[in-house]
Amino acid sequence: MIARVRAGEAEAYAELVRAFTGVALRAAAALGAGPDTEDVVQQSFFKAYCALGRFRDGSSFKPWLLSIVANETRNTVRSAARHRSAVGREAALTEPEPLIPASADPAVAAMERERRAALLAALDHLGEDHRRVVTYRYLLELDEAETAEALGWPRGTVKSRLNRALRKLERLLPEEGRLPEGGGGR
Amino acid sequence: MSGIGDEDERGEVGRAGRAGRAGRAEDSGHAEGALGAEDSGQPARAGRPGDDGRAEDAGHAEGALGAKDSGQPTGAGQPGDDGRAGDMGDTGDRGGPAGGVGNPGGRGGGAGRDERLAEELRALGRALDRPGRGETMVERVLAQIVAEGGAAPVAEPAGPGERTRRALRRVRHGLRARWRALVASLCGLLTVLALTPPVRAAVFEWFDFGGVEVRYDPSPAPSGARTPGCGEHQVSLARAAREAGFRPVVPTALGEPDAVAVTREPSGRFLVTLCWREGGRTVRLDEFPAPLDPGYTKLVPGMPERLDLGGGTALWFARPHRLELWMRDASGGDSWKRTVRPAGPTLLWTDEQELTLRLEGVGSKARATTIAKSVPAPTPVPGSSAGVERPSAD
Repeated sequence: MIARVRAGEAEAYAELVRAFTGVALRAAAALGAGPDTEDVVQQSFFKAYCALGRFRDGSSFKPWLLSIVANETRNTVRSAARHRSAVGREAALTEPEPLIPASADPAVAAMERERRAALLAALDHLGEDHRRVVTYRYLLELDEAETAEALGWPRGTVKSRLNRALRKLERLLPEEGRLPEGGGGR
Repeated sequence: MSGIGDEDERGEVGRAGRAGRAGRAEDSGHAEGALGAEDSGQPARAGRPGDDGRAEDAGHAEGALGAKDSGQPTGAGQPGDDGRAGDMGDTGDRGGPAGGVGNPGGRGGGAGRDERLAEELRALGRALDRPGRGETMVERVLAQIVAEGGAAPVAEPAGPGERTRRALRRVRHGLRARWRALVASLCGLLTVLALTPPVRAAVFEWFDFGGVEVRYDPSPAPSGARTPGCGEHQVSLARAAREAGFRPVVPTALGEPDAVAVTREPSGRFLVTLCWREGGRTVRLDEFPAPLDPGYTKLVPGMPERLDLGGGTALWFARPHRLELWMRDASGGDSWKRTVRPAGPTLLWTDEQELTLRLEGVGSKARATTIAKSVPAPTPVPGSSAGVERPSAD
């Protein structure tokens, strides 16, 4: 695929864009691009295209792209305070689109939303590295190898930082509300 | 089963087992509960119906590994979610001890809590998704590449096997030229798509064929495709040859054309069109030197069929499609003019003297093929070809 793009097939690149837009948008949103999410992703795809010459054959495109998205997001929100990013993401979560199935109990939905807001707030209190590793590994659902590649860290570092980050998150979070699925049990 | 159950861990195991029962056992954590209980001498739990089955499903390997490293079998085993067993192992093998220290016997095993937290985080990530933006993004990105004129990316030479600088420059040059053409056509394409807003035409594939660009365009095929005639400015074959600078070929199957027209194309090139009237309809044959690029773009709703003409390949466009005529500025640069018209079934091929021929208005594939095959082989001697009078250039 990459070879086809390099050979000048723009359509091959269109396929790549199509395939990775979802995860790229999620990444930019999760990393705090807020209202600029789509612009950030567009810019990232453009930069990725221009930088394709530096892409190492045989490596995976997704982590490489996501590291560009992360850079681009950082550049975009650098001037703004970190708070803004949190606000942006919360705004994203409260968009009128049905993030939570309409069938769900409104009370449960409200609880879930609250829980997510709490998660976001906790994420924001993590250090940069911890926030990134949690974001890549869980919010973006990369596997460990991809996370390591996207962050440019050894896998061992990914593991240890991930665990430390989870510990911190647990301490930062209020007493866990039970997940809606579990809440009704027994 | 696993290495759990070392003496100094037994107390932990018991506690973890209880914690699991209190916190999550009802929810989903049966498998690990069973695992922990079995090893820590709590047969009562191991005997719970369903526990064993779950343990098999969830993947003993990860659970056991997590349990061994963390000394918290409950936690390691917690993932009732079969699909997550692998992830569980990842976090469980390190997460356990710290969680144990922080919350001994607390709200459940450390790894189990990790997994729950991980699942919440994944859900959080998914909640950020907005579906259906892929196609818009494709358009935006391509438009930006076009607008900012990104040159085709070239692989940089890596390591020991690097190419010579000269070869690289050659490759770069070739790609840049190819990309320029692509950018140019994309510009036009995006404009065309903008003209038909209800249908977001995804363009999946295109290729060049003798100076004709073929694109896939799933928009509804145009209706009322009538093959246009040769127009009012008709010339003789001889004059056409003189003006165009090449000898138009005449398929013997169609005989002498009823009309001939010469169209001046950008860059001082010419297109020769031969027309025949057949029962009130027009059969039209466009001829132009293949290197003339890109003369036409065909927006087709389906892939054309490749036909073997004996001497070469032809493309058969059975369905009506939109034909875009590109008018390029003489400098080969920035200024473009084009028209779009519907076109009926078309046969497209190149002959041996590198003319591109485009036959429109013949609805039968077999007949179109016959006509194409009846084009006489090029010969420098005028008049020698199958009785068709051929003009001599100059």
